[in-house]
Amino acid sequence: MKRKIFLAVFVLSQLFVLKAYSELASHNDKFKVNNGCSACHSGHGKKRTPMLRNTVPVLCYACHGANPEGALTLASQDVYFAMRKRYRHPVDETARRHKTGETLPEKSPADPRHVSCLDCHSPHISEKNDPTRGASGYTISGMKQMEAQKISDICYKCHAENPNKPFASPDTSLDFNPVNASYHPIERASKERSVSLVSGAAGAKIGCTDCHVPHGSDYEYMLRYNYRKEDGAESLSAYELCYSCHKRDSILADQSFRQHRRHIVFEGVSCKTCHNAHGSRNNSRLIEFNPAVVKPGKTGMMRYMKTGREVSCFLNCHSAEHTGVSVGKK
Amino acid sequence: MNRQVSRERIMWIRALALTGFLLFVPGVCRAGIVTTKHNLSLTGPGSIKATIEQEICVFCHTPHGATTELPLWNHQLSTQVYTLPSTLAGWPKLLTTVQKPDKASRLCLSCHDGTVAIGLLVNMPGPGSGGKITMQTGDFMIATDYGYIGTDLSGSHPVSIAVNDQLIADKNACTTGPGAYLLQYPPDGDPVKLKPTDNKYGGNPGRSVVTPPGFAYNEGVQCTSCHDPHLAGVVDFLVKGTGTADPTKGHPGNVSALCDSCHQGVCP
Repeated sequence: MKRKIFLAVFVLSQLFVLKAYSELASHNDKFKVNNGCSACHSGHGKKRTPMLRNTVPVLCYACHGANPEGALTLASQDVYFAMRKRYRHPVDETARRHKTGETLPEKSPADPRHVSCLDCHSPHISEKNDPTRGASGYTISGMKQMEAQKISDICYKCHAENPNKPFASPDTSLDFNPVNASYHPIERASKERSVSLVSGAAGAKIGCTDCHVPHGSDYEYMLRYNYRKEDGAESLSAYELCYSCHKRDSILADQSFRQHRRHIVFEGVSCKTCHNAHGSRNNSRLIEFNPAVVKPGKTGMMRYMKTGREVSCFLNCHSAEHTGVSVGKK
Repeated sequence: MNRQVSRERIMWIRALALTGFLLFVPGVCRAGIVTTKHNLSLTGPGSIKATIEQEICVFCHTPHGATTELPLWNHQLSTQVYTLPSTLAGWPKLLTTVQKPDKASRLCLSCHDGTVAIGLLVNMPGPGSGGKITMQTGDFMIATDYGYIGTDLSGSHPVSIAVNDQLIADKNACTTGPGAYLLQYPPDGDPVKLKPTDNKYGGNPGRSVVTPPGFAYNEGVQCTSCHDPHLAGVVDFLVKGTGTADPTKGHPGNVSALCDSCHQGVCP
């Protein structure tokens, strides 16, 4: 009996030990990083770093990918290879500009932009299931957060209105603003419920990383799947990104919009020609025409109008004049 | 009568203890240092050593005519101005009053910054005054030497910083957000020890200590907080926690236990 009690107590105590370890941040867990502090730090580290053995990102690649020196790949996230892809955050080129304790965004338009692993990750506190835990950010309204509450808040550090933001780069905080007529549900669950959505997606919120792979991707804009922005033949792979949430069968069966099949299949119109995937300030259904393709029509307008359940467009698209032509019910 | 005897006895015990101490300490130091790279004499095991000189202690210590930085210090000190970790953004808040390294750290840097000849002494062995012992590998430590630190200390742990209640309170206020490590005094008896410094933090000197009795100083972090230059058989002269090297990662060892002495827990 005594033996059984002893065994029970022993097993329970071990469980507590395991639980204590499981609650540690990944980098502070000696079972994962068995060289402890020395894995990253040295009493006499690289100059102008917080005692780091090497500069970021090379330091990170030592575990998070096969680095040029051929170290073993220990972590599941092969960041090094993602960072070799065509579309990526330019960490390799610009991480050296990161300063410990800096506040993003930069203050002057003349300041060069940068991105470092440490802009999105807080290595002493990040966890496997929450790799950006502890990173700072801004709310959509521009309020600084010592610890960002969601991924998008981290992205807003650089992808909202910044003094040094390139002209072509969108201010995503405007796109996702819940006061907009429509938006992908980053900040707030969408008011609209498209019939094309896969089950479980309706009414849910999503994150930037549901569509983008911040480390790197073969697809433009670091998209998770292919999304062809130019007009052309429809296929599953052409709009793979959209179809990952919006069922292709439903879209092409005109369940959400009566003219979808005609536009996408017969006319070879890209989703991007009519939609802004982030959000639309003035129109429902993320309608925002791509000015590279769609031009004002004879009326001088380039507009989408909704009257009751009827929608109509005033525009010129590849010489196809839409003059208030009713394009179907909403 | 009894009282007088006991006083006499105490005096004898003290005298014996002092004699023993004086005989014992240099013995320990020599026994320790002789097998380390800090044995710079001809008999040293490292690559940096003298061509002829066989005295071991003389590279750092002299009984007479020493420098004023620390008693018995024999090596010519450096006059360099160092680039400090406080030049990094984020650090200045904690290190606004730090001055150039002082006391023990200056002694280490007198060789390790690479600007003073390793053999340049205030008092050469035997009669006479200052001079230079000739080394096999040239006068100075150079950038490729393992122990070379140089004059840019911006990637090193800050040294000669006063540690006081205010520094600990400021650091642990976690104003830089989550993830920064907390700070504490090393526990009593810990091999990691705070050492004398004249620098100040927040306008105040480091915590005042009087150990041993009659020897008062203000505490701070110096090279000698983590390294004991006489210690043999450990990695990098570290006083604590030199674990087994892991060749798959190219690290000299796990020194987390050393860091733990002052840094435990993370800002939430």
